[in-house]
Amino acid sequence: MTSLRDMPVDRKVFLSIVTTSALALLVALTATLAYETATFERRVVEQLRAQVRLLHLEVPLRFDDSKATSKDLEALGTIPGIEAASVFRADGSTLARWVGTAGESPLPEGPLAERTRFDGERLTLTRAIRDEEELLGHILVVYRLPRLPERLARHGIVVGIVAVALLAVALSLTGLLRRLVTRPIFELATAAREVSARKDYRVRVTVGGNDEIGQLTRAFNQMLSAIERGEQEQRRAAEEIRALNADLERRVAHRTEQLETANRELEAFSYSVSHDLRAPLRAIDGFSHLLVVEHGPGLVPPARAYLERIRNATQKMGRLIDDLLKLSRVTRSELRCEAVDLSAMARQIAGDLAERTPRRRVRLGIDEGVTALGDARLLQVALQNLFDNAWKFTKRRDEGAIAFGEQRRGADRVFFVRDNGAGFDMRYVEKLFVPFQRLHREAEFSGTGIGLATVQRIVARHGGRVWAEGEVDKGATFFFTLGG
Amino acid sequence: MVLVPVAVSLFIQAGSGRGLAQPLLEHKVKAAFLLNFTRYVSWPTGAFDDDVTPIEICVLGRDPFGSLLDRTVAGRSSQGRPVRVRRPANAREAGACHEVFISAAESERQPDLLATLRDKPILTVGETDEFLEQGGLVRLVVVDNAVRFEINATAAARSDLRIGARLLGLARRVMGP
Repeated sequence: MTSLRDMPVDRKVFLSIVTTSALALLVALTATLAYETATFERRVVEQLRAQVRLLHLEVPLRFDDSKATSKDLEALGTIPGIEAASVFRADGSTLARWVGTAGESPLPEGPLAERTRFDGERLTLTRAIRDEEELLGHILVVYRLPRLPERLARHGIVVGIVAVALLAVALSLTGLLRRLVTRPIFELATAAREVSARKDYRVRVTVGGNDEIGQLTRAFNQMLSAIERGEQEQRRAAEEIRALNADLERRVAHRTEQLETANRELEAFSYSVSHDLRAPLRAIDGFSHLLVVEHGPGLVPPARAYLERIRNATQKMGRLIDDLLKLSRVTRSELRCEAVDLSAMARQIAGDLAERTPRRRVRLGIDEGVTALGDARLLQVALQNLFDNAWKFTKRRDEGAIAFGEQRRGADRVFFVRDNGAGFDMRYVEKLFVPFQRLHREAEFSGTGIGLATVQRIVARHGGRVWAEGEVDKGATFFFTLGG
Repeated sequence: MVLVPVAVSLFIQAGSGRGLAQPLLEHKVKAAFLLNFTRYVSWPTGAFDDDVTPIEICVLGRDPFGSLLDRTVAGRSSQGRPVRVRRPANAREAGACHEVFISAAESERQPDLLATLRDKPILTVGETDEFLEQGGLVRLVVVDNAVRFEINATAAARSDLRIGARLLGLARRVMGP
């Protein structure tokens, strides 16, 4: 079927004409044969009647001339289809008989009771011979219906001639159709192929007439025009977009540059501010210390208390400046990724904390073998901050508990630091990671409010995120991921 | 169809391929032939007075048939006319006959009789060997135990009789142009 579908149109046309014609021929032949069969008996009866009338068999019958009758029957036998014949006298005795070369047909010994007997292949006719109302005898003729091959052969020449004529007609019709139908379609197809192959929409096909093909051709041309126009417009639009994009990129680059400059300036400013603040602070700290050491005893108690407050404030400001510098470093420093053993790091941090405050009782649960890809220095800072917090907020517990580990959440590896400390109110969870925002009073838990901001900055620089879950007096858990 | 031999002529019963066993049978056949000849011969219009004028079969001279011929012809018709048998006393009386039979027994008188009937529209039928040469029209002859006949077509033409082609075709011999 596919091959038929792929066949060129004029071959299809030729094939359909030939097929239709052959079919018609076949139907005609079949109908002819069927008609012949159906009318065989009638034709034979008519033929016999005419023959008998022509032979005037009543004359030899009247003169009982079997020799002459035999000759008549022989003449009758030359008619195609007659196989045997005999003439009977009125009393049923045979006057003459003739059997053709086929020979084997059993010729009845007397006239048959029925005028016509048909056994599928042979037709046996019995007819009375009369003259002037007088029954003189009977003639009996055996016909053989020609076999199908013979009948086909008989029609063969006609069929052949008609077939040749049909072929000629089909050929000339195909030629005509080729000029009227196929060639325009072919031109259309060629043009379409060319267009699709070369994307050249300037091609146009000549319109032949105003029939469907002509309309199709015209529509095709119009479509090409439309595409051509559309392409031009598209090209112009693409050009515009490209120009706009270029402009946008230029502006973005410009802005980014401005932004980077501003950022750098800001960082440099905050760094230098922090750095430069240290020198006067050291002076304040140093001199206030000298004042306490050398003139402390001489001062009145309120003056000594004020001095103490100055010293506390100075130290706090020092820590603040340190943290600010740390945060600034986190932002500025280059990220150097390597495999980091977070378990070992956590153990070391917890060990340091325990050493610094030996009176605290804290139960540590640090999972083994937690590793991650990241900047060891920054991750140390982040983990330090989280452990510092956990340590700090569990100081009211008789026995603190701090855990570190890793969870899988979908495709993400999530690290966590959990404590059973003071916890926090989830309503304020948003404020946790904002610099200088604190959920606890300074008097309860000291801190600068920069630690978690630093953690968030580090995690963000690794492409991860950090979040927290907690409940007042039930502890807090800090989770973080480290991106890809 | 029922084969009732209502009109089976005598000769058919006699001559169904079984030969002529006896003179009686031969005469039966000949009588039938005399009747049947009239069926395939055309007489000139003047030979009959009108449409119902009978065809007359005459036996001239000695009659070998007895009542056979009368019985053969009885109730039969030919060419739509009744058929009658007559026995004229002489040749002159036979002038009104349509068919005249001269038996072999009349062989001596035969030339004279034929001379009298010559050129008249009369179908003369005889039995002797020289019947046709003497101007007779149809000669009956027994061959292989079967009655056959010969025709003198020239004489028939002279007598203004037209003999049917089919009858001529059955003749053993046709004398003529």
